[in-house]
Amino acid sequence: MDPKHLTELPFVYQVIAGLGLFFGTFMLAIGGWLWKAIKPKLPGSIAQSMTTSTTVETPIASAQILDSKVFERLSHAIERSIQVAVDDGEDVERALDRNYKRLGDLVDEVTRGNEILVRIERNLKDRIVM
Amino acid sequence: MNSEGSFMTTLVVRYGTHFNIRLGEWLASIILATLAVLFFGAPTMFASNEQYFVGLSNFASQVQWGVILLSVGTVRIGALWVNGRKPITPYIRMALAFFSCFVWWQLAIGLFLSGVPGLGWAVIPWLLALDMYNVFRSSADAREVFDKKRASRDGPETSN
Repeated sequence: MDPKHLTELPFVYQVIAGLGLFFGTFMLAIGGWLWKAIKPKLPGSIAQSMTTSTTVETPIASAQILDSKVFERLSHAIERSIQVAVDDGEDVERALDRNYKRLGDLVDEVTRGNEILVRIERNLKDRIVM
Repeated sequence: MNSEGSFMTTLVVRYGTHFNIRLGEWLASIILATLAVLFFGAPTMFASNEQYFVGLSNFASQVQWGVILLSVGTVRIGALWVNGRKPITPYIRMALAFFSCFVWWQLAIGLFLSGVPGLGWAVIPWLLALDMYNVFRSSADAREVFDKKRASRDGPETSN
């Protein structure tokens, strides 16, 4: 039989098409569920266009930038401080020791700051992602 | 605890980022609800276009479909409006997008089986495709909620 219209399409074909659609959609649901695991294996261009929310990535990136900037400034400050101490005739060993303690305090502060950022990030994720 | 200001900011950020991403879901939900209103407003639609609605009328009457579509449309809109403030909403979006595929499919079947070309031939199959994509999207969101819930139950992640 050569149907002229879809009207003449045998019912069994309609059922097959319906089942195909059902399982196709079901597979899509499973694909979505596994998407996070599948995404890294796909070419970047596809994976990036399907990202859930780029906003979530921002606080993480900010935390990293903040870390690198803080440490960069910290290292400059220590260098300057030692230079000033040496220029003032202070003993270099003592200046280094003082700066070492100060460095420890600053690292603690950065760590605390980082923990706060992580908490903010989690909080943002909770509120933004879904 | 959120202050009112930060809550409002959060809402603005959420809708700012998510409305565009979920525009397809909003659209499909609004169309479903509008279709229901149409079914109630023109009670002879099924009778006067028997072939067009042969797929849907195999399962229920026009009024019943009106009630079903209005419920599905409004619940989907509600779930999108809640936007994840309740963790169940991605699951609701996924299930109802899945069900909507069935509705679009039955409509498409009716339209094509009627053999009379119309606007629906160009629109309904794409709405079906849109809702199939919506199933995928909301399923990915549901997984994210699931993972987050599991992580909060099992303790914080060790990474970072």
